[in-house]
Amino acid sequence: MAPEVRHDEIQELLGAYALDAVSPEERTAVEAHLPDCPRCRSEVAEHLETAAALAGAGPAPEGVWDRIAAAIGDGAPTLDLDRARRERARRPWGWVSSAVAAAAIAAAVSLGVAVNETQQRLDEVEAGLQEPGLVRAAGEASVDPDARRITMVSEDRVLRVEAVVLPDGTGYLFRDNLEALPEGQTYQLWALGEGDPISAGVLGPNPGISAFTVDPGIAGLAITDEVAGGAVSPDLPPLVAGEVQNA
Amino acid sequence: MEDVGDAALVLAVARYRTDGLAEVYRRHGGAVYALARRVTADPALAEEVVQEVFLALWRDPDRFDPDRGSLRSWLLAQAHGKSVDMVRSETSRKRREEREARLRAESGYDIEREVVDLTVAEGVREAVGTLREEERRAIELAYFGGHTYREVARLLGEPEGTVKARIRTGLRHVRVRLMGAGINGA
Repeated sequence: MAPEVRHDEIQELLGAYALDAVSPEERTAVEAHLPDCPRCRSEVAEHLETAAALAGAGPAPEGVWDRIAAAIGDGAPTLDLDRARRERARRPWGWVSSAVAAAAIAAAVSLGVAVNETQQRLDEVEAGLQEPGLVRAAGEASVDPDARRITMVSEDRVLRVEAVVLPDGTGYLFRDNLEALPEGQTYQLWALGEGDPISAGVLGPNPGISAFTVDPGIAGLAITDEVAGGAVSPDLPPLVAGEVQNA
Repeated sequence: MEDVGDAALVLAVARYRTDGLAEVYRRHGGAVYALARRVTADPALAEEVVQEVFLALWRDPDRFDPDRGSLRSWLLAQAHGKSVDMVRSETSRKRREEREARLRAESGYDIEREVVDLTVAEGVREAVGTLREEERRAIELAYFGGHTYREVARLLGEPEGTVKARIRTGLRHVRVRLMGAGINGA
């Protein structure tokens, strides 16, 4: 391990650091210092803005965009919800894997015992493109080493929702490609465990980054689309589902 | 998408919106390319850098933190880092030697001319014009030349500590001038 470098020595490096003009060892030392030092972080940010002003401009090369577009797929995946629903109806929760599936199939034949608790969760979860605090909290949770990640995917793997759950049961949906639902419908989040799926909240027609609370011991999460207001047990097979990944 | 701010665009990217990424590219792809081309002195490598920068944003949009600066400066910092990696990598050694020979041959490798070439705003050019010659040289060799401050010191025959300090004070001077002219970095 490199010995700890003093604050003023780090400061002297910040200009060169912002221009990628330091040695790998110095870079490591600066980057070890920055998280604890708002003053140095702010100086680096200033140098980066200044450098950006010097960088110039010009037309964006078009051929490169074609290659980028090819690499990320042919445009945003579009989903025909009616078609998806018909297909899901033929194969209800069965495609959801292993432990998650066991819980989910049970739900299809039972209203469940947790109705009271479920009804309390039919409130709208905190959703928040406009809420910087939530966005930040979700961002921090997504890189928290103690957080467990859950990637929910649709059966055809087109839809994808990423979530994290912290050890205290606080969870965030921080990335999704769900389409906005028509009026009168809502997405609803379900916690999957040993019993029936438990509603973790109504997400609204166009979720974005959202916070929710679940039992930290859940096995997985799933999302259905329901009539607005939510359901106490899932009416339809899930659009997406995924298991908790071990940390 | 055209009316949306950069931070909201990144959220759109985080939701796998390709039109969000396309708009980020439309706004900043040109600057990213211009910088990568300047540093690598190679259009093909520069295109590779541009591609990597935007694909990295697509794969990992939450690496951009809007609280830490503008999207443009972040994208350019990514592009600069990748460009520098390319010119410093073993496989590019020959290219780098050719490049250095060319830079040395251009005795007046000159940031003022660079920014004119790159059609940077008048205010930026003026701000750079107020730098002391030695500050300007240190910044241009580090930023556009892709050299470490130690290499810059060797190239200029100056002490390392001096060059390190000049880069920092030079950037600060430019910033003060830009702010005085009502231009922030973005």
